[in-house]
Order: sequence, then structure tokens, then C-alpha cells
Amino acid sequence: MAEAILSVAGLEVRYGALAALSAVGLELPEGAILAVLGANGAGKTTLLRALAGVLVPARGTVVFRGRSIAGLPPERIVRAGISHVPEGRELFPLLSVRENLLMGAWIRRDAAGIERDLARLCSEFPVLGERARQPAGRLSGGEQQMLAIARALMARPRLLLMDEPSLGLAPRLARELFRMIDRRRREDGLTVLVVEQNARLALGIADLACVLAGGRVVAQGPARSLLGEEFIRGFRLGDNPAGRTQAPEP
Amino acid sequence: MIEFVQLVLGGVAVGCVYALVALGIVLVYKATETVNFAQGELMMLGAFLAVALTSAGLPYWAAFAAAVVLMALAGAALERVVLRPVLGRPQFAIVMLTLGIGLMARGLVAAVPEWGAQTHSLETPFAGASLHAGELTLSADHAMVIATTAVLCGALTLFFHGTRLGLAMRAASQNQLGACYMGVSLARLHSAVWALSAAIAAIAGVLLAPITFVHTNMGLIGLKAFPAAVIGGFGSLPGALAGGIVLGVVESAAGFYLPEGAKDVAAWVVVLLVLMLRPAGMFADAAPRRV
Repeated sequence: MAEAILSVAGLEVRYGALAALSAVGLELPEGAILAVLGANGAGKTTLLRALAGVLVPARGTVVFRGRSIAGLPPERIVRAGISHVPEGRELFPLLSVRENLLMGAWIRRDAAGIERDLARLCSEFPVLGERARQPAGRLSGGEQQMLAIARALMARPRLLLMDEPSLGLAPRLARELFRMIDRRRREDGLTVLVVEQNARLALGIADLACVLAGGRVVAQGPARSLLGEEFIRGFRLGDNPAGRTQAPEP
Repeated sequence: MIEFVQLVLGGVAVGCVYALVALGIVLVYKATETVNFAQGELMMLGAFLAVALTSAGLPYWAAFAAAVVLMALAGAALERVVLRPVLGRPQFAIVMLTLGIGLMARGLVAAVPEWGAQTHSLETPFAGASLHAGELTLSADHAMVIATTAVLCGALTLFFHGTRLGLAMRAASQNQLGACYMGVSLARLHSAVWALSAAIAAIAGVLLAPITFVHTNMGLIGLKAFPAAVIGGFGSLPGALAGGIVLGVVESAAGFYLPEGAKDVAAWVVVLLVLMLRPAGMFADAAPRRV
């Protein structure tokens, strides 16, 4: 695989006295999909927020395409080529679907390219094309999730950060979404870092996986090798206090 | 009847000025969540600038345009130098700061020799002219206010719905973090909003100048713009416009039909009624605010 597009080393993020992430290290090759797994509170969202510039790391380095981006504000991170599909989506509820997508392309100036990408996304997510004139706040939860991802892609990122993209999606839609992400990777060389509760779904398309627990990376490796391993089951079920086996996906 | 229509017309004209000042307040509030108590004083500064420029020999229209551009720059500078450093401080501190800016502006203008304690008039090319339709008369000053407000509202609609920057301002007013994620620099956006708001204040000042003359207490019109903004829902631009016009008409009617003094109370009576009957204002946002 190609050389690393993103290298994180010794990353520490604190909320006051509490270290939410400590000594996190990651290497993400260009064009790869990395699934970050872990229980609630393991630090997955914190990691994404630190990479996206919302949280300023207390320590550590983040190098993206040969450039240090640790501590840059979110608006500079997007310009560097990293788009974030955040937890809670952060859409503009009163703007139309189309206007939300146009905002996604804020950092771009190529009007023709923007229109082309709009058309492409509307064919990939037909519901967004159908509802282009409706306010985003009127879409269903799943549709809003798709809009948030489509909006992030409008910036033509080299790296896409996604926080729980399958949340609120029907299983069929979630699989479709992951197929679309996989296609983007193959066709455009998009690199993806995805946080997922649904480990099976994420590991299905991921090349690499890393497991967070208590703010530390406790396992890291090729996704295939982790897929069957016992500890994944353990960490994935970490959100289940009894540690019992979770029912299979519906 | 004709007398009533005449009253309404005059009320609409004055109401347009309230509406423009209210528009500036609401713009800044929506974008930056700062309530700017100095908006009336920005209007006063715009009017003084226009007077200074015309007495320096500039024709009315050139002075009008120059005052608007200079006030836009002043608005951006105010955001950059004074407000940006206090961003994120408690609301109360920021409110006190804008009140202070207003008082300082009045003090500074009063301290300028020739300007200070005097009342000035702004020479217009249409002074004394008026429009007639049957028995109705509309002074050119009032017609100018109404026409300019209408054109400005059209221009603002095009700006907010047809330009990149306008779209970003709407987006950021709904979700600041979301706008950051898109790559919008909130600091620059806030500067642009303050510039726009100060430019609108300058337009209001130049329009009002031939009607009330130009003096340091002109900015007290802010006391009418706030009720106008509240009537409109304090977050809605069309609401601020409608609120201003309603207020102007009510005042004008109260001044004519009711005893002395009622005129000044009328604005606040309307605010009370609106708050009691429709607490979110006449033009509350269609979707509730996300906090």
C-alpha cells in the first residue's frame, strides 16, 4: 500500500484533568479504510474531534500529507483536505438540501466541478436529489445522515472522518452507504477513518482496524485479522456492561 | 379617510428607518449572538459623515455612497479591534461593551468642534419636492426613505439567497460549528456581518437626516429599533422590517389621534401586546433553534 497520508504519534487530549486520549499512534496509508472500534467512552469521538481540529491536543503530533496539522482550527483542517462527518451531523436545518451541499463546497471555487459533484452525489443518494429544495431539518434521520456524508464529500477531501455513519440508518441503507464509501476509495483514492459501533459492518470494508479502550490503542492491525478475533467481540460488546454476547445484526 | 392614509404613509416612512436600524441589530445578533446597543450610534455616525462629506463639497449621492462604504469599513474594524477579543465572554460583558461603544461614539462626535452640540442639515437634491396622487402628498424625503428601503431589502434578499457569502452567513447563523467544519472562518464572517450592519446603519442615517436633522442624540432611535426587532421575533430579518413599519404607523396614528405623550408610549404598548399574544414575535423562525 502507498505511504502514510496520516500519521499520528503520542496524541494526548485532555478534558481538564482527565486524559481522554493518551499516547495514541496511528499510521493510515493513502487509499485505505481504517475502522476505529471501541466501547462508548473509549475515546473514539474524541480522536475524530482532535483530528478535525475541534479539540486541541495537549501533546503529540499529527502529520497529514507531510504537514503538521495538530492544533489547527477546523476551518484550516478542511482546507488541508480532511472532511469530518461529526457526531450529531451539524447540518444547517433551515437551509435546503442543495444549499447544505453547496456549503460543503465552501472551500472550492470551481463552479463547474461543484455542479458535477452535486449531480454525482444526487445520483448516488437519489433521495437527496429528490429533496434538493426541502429544508434539511425536514429530512428523516437516515436522510440527514446521508446528507451529512454527501456534504462532507462536496469538499473533495483526501481523508474523510466519519463518526458512526450507520447510526440511524436501516441496515440495508447502512450497507449501501458503506459500498458507496468503498467505491469512492477505489475510484478516487479517498482515505477513510471511520468510527463505528457496528464492528461487523465496518470491518467488512475496512483494510485496517484499531481498537480503543480507556483512551489508548489496545489493538491495531489488518481488519481481516481482527474480524474473527475474540477481543473484538469483547471490545465491541464493551458497551454492554454484562459483557454478554450481543444479538446478531437484524 | 384620506387623512388616515396620509398618516399611514408618513408612519411607513419613519417606520422604514426603525426597520433599517432593527435589521442591522438582528443581522449581528443572528450571526454573532451579540446584541449591539450601539447600532443607533452607528446610524448617527453615518449621518454625520454624510454631512461632513457634503460640506466638503461632495454631491449628495457621492457623499451617500462614501458614508456607507466608510461606515462598512468602520463596522469591520470595530469587530476586529473591539469585539473579537471579547468573543466567548459572558453576554453581559459584551452588552456593556456595545453600550459603551455607543456612549463613546456620542462623546467623540460631541467633542469635535463644528459638529458637536449643533444640529446640522443634510442638503439633498430633492429638498422641498413632493409627490402627489390625488389629494395624497408624500414628501420627497419620505418617498426616498421608502424607495431606498425597498431596494435595499431586494438587494439583501439577492445577497442572502444568491451569493456564496450570503449563504455562509445564513448557514453560520443556524450552526456555527457546522460552518467551521465546512471551512468557513467565523472571525472573517463576523467582520463581514458587522460591515454589512454598519453600512445599513449609515443608509438609515442618511435617509433620516433630511427628516429629523443630524445631531448627537439621533442614535436614540435605537430605542425604537429594539422594540421593532422584538415585535418581529428578534431573529428574523423580514420580522425586523415588518416590526419597524408597524411601529412607525402605530406611532404616527397615536400621535395624531391620542393625547400628547401617547406617541412615545405606543411603541412599548405594541411590544407588550405582541409579547403577550405571540411571545415568539410575528415572524418566529419556522424551526425551533438548536442550542
